[in-house]
Amino acid sequence: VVTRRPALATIVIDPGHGGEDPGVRGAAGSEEKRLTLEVARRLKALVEARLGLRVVLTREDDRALTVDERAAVANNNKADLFLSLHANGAPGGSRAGAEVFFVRLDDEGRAVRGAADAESVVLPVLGGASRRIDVIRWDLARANHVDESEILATMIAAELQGRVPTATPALQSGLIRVLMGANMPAALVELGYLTNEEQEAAMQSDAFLASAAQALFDSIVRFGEYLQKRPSR
Amino acid sequence: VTRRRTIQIVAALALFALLAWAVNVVLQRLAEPPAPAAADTDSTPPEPADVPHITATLFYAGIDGQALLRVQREVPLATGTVPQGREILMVLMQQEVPAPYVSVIPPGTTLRAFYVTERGDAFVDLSGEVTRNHPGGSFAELLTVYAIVNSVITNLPTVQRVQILIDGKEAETLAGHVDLRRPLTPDLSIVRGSGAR
Repeated sequence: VVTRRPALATIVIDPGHGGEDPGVRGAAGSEEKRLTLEVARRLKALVEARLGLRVVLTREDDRALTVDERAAVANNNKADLFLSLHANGAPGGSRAGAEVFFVRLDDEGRAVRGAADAESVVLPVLGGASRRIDVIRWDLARANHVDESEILATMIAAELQGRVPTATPALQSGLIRVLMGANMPAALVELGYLTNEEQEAAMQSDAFLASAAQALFDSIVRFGEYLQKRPSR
Repeated sequence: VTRRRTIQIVAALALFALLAWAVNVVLQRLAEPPAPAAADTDSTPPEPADVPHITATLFYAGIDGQALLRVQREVPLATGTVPQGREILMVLMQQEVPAPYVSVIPPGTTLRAFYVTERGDAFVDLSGEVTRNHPGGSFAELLTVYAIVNSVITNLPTVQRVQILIDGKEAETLAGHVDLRRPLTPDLSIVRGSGAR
């Protein structure tokens, strides 16, 4: 009997910044690194308790990590999903709301994805079958998962809307460094703007933290259902 | 008669000598280089209005910080792509920006170098203040990066891509978010009036 591996077994959550890098600082003194760690801990508890999945945080305490170390935690743990949590900043102080980023491929990324498709290696495995191995540069591993990452980010943006204030548009794409080396579907969530005084105050509340963690949990459930229904590769 | 004749000869010689002196003076003046135009004026530097300018399209945030905006600004004219690129970046980095716009370049940031390769890749080398004084956040970082990239490429047609260096070295990011390891192409999705915002 062959049992199919569950679509989501391991999730890596990355609380942005840490250590000597506080990230964005609000006018009232809130620090991005503390907010992201708090939401990450709540989300980990929810996923472990209700879905029984393995959850790894890139940092459990107030320490600095490079962006490559964060992606390496996800890759080394063979994560099926990578979420990087952040809080945002903007000049002027009026911009507010959560945003979700996925990686947009630049010209080189598109070329790498095309080359990976063309140059993948098919290796025989036990039982006479074969398995396709993608040949791709580690730092551009993201190129293989760009479509699923956009689906994941879209689901997160939809789940956040109505739970916490969201920006317009809530879904964004860009060359986000921490997502570039993650070899699995990945998204970066900006939970809100600490440079907006009203939002900074709201983001410290238990209601906000609980709503944000719940919205992220629900988007993980939705993405897991999508992966289960997707034809296996 | 002889005395009268003598006086006429002396007068003719004197007139001839006077004419010769006058011709000599005229010829000397013609042979001299022209005097500098400013020689008879004061030595204060020319007013800025006297310096040739171009009208460049630079990118700043609006007062609400919601997006980048195109702003027409006067930039000193320079000869050649690289000198003109330097002038454009120097103006972009000034913190004094006409209202109602806001600079998205962190205060204290200076331009260390600017050069362009034959492939059309421009390199903008910034001082470390661009990282140390950056307020952080993905959105603020996108505004800073693409204010630079868009401003260079919009005004210098031979430049195709821009790579940002910090203190002379390749950088991973400005403040932890946007990938700076490779040259970037313009992003108009965060520019108001470009269809996206």
